Amino acid sequence: MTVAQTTPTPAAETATHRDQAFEAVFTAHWARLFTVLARTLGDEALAEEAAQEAFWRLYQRPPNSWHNVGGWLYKVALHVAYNAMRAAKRRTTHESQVRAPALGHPEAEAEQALTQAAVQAALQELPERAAHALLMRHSGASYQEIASALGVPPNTVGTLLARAEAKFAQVFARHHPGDVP
Amino acid sequence: MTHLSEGDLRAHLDHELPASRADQCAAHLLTCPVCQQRLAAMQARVEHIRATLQHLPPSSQAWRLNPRAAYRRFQSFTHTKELSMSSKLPAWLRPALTGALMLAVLVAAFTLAPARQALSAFLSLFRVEQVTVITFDPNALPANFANRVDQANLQTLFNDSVDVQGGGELLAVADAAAATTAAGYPVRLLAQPATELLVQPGLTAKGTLQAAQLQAILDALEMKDVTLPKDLDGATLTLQTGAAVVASYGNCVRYADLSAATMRGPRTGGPMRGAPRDPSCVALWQMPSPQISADPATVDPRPLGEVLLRVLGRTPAEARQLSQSINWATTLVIPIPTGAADYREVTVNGATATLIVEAEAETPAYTLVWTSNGMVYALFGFGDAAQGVALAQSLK
Repeated sequence: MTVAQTTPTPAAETATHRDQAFEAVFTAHWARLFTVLARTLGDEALAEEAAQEAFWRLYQRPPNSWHNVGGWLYKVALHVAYNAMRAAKRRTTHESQVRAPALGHPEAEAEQALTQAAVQAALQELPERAAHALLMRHSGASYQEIASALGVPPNTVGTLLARAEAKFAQVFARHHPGDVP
Repeated sequence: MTHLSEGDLRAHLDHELPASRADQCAAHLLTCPVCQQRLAAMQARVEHIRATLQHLPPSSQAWRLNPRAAYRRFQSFTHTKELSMSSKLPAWLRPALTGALMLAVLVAAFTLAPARQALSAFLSLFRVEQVTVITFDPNALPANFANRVDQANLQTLFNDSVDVQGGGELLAVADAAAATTAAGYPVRLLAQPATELLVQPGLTAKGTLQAAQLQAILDALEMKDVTLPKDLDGATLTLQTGAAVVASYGNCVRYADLSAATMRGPRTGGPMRGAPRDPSCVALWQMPSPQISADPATVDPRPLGEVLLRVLGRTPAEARQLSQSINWATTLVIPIPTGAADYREVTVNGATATLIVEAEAETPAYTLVWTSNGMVYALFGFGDAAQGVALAQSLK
């Protein structure tokens, strides 16, 4: 039986060039995008899937201007992730797969876990947009990227951050007494 | 004097103020101890939060962080995606129209790697009466899925040869009458004139299954806990398809260009890349309900259905349960990657139809699938799916 083989034809020059350029963008943004998503979603596997989906869409439809790629990627990835979580409602998707790295010291591990729990609690008490802004900024996103990701004017990002951080510090202190922000 | 706003202070800390405002703020800070203090407090808080967040995973050692490895994983991800979603026509239409694969018709139900298409063919008796959508997570597939199964050599699933009769080249025909003659059944079309009208002759293919090879494929996929029923071994499967007719309307990519693009490997671009999605483009696909029969006729399709569901990422328990609940003999199963599309049931002239709409796209692609009087229909278009439903209702 002969099965029709799909033989890839040699990539056109422009396609290779485009792929190389894309790889550069991917490499530049991957770690930060993944980190922010993992912290926002509390789930590293979901964060990776969402990030891949966002990069895929970027590849499919490159933007006219590249200078807000970070923000765009974050926005799309978040959207994808929330949709996936809604679609998988029946299953226990929100089990956090995030685990503290084993430090080998029980006290240190316990402390790490406590801090993490306090951070998650604080993030959850923030309005969603504020939490996103805070996580993005603390992973190095520019105001322009944050503005683009959240759909707000860039000149409001400073205020958004200041309020988010004030609230975060307050809630964190409540869950983690003995630590003065 | 008025003090600096929180927003200004914060942006100043980040050096994100526009130039003129930055100068004003700097000047104010020089002479205002109150704002200097507020700035210092804010800075301390920011620093504290930064340090606290470091405790959150992912740690800098997290394996997913490495960009090079991530890019390689991304490449596998895109390979899977492209096989399923890259075409303007839904992927499941393509194989039925190329006609070269023995499993062309059931490939309509399974959009990804050849392995899945092969597995999906092993149903004892199959006549499409209904359609059901199964979501799956393409990233939950075993790593290197396509490679591993190719290596297991699908061709050996059947002993030496599969006997194929019919099939052949796609025919372009001039009008409905010519299509009806070529297809051998009354072809239904939309009222507007078709831009392209094609007929894919039907075929009959027959092969004898070798269970040992199927088991080897399952082993390659690391599904060692699945045992196949003994009566599969040596069973003869016969696939019969009638002629498929494709009519395209409006401004669609010509089928010849489309099929050339889809036959290329992934990541090579081609005419589909960035092709504009013209809302005037509508494609109608129709075909008599395909049939698969098995000898012995007692072969139970459910274990195979279960395997398929496992391949699509369901746990063993879920796969078993789901497989029991699907009437495999009468159901066309369409797998959709989770989140890739929204789907719901609609009615087309009293018949239940499945509407699948691409998610997250400016001009979403939609597919409407339904069965009626022993025929399977699919209507494909861009943009407003309600228009698609109306067109489907208007079929003559």
